[in-house]
Amino acid sequence: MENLSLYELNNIVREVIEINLTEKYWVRAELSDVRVSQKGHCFIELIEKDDLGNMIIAKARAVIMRNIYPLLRLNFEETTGQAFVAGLKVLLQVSLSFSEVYGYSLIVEDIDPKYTLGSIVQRREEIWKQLQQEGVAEMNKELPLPLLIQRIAIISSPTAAGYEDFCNQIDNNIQGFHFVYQLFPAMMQGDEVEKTMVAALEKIATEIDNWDVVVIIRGGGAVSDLNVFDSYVIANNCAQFPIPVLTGIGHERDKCILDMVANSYFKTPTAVASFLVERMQNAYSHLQDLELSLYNNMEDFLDENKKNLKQLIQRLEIISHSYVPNLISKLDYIYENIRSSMVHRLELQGIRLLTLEKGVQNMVEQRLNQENKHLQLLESVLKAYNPENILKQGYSITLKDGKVVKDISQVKPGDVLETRLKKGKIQSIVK
Amino acid sequence: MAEEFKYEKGIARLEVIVHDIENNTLDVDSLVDQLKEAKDIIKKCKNVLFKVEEELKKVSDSEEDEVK
Repeated sequence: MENLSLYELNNIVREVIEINLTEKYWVRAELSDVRVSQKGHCFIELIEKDDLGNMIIAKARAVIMRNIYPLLRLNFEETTGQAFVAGLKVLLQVSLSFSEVYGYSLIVEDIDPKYTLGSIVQRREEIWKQLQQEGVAEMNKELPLPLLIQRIAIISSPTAAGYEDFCNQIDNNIQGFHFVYQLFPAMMQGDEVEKTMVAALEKIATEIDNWDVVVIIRGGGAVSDLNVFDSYVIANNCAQFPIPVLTGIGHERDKCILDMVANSYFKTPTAVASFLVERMQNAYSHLQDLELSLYNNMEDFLDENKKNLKQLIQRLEIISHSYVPNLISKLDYIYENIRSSMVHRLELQGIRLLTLEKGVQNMVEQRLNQENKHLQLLESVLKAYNPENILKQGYSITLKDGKVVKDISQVKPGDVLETRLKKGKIQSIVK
Repeated sequence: MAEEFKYEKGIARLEVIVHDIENNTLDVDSLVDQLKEAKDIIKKCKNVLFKVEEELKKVSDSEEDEVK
């Protein structure tokens, strides 16, 4: 029967492809392996997974020739901020090739990095949404940062550039703050990142009381596969971690999922170190302020009391100096009061006496006058009744035996009567 | 955790003492006591920040190792 050699068969296929499928195709695929040869060519394995992401439904090999690979790679990394490594979804412009020996492969002519960027962003959004739906997205952020962050569990690779920088900065902080830290090593790139980081977190969790925070740092100059830090598993673990997680992974692109779930995110490992040192400094400043406050207030308090005491002493002195003179003044005052009031009273009495005297005088005068008048009256009466006066008038007094005769009955004839006249007497006998 | 707890508590207590002195709510006798307490707290807090004792201990431990 008719037969061909293998070469001939392959050759037919090759010709068909080379003649009929000469176009360039833009194809979407996932990088499942990326390797750069010694000569500088980049050999890729492309795959496509089914919708669930489990089964591989297509596979192809591709190559980026060394004359365009550096340029394409540079452009890709600049746009995506991401290294051209396995795991990424890419959009490649390819032409088909078939070799009798190596079979079907694709020759990459161009890459559209925006597609990859888009897929990265999209994946991040999906993962973030999932974390939110599970209610864990904000959990680590909600943990309060302790006042003193002194004990630091570091997840990094001992060879990572950022790790050494971080430790230097912490060890050599100017003020001499004391920190305690320990490295819990993990891979920061490659395939084992997820597994090793989760293991490191679990280890820290077993001694959780010894640590204040977890710090995840990497750093490094070249653009690397930060893709790994969009891992759902790592993010989920960190989000629910019981102490705050700080990231300082160091890259110039948007935050990755790990940054988004972390309690605090920093651009570089150095920035994390600065933050920690500054925080200690703030705590120290606060302590110093309190100390200063304490002493100032104390001084004020003592000064206040000293002043009060001094014032009291001064007042006491003043009072004691003037106490006796004050008393004397008081006595003088009282004395003066008494004296002047006595003088006043005496004056009053004097006036009263004078008045009385005058009054008495008047009364006496009056009385004397009265008596005088009375006397005069009596005198005149007396005068009037003076027998002499009566005799003067021509009357006579008739006496019997020396007794005045007023009544005829008193006399009988024969009686001797004496009649007194103004001048002389008459003796007579009654008939 | 234990150290942290003490530091924060210490600071809080210090704030209270300073506040009391500021507002003259202390008499002279308790002032002396509280001042002593405050000085003690400050010393302990500084110790935590700078871990002087631990450093000294490390140095003396390492010296012992060298001798061995």
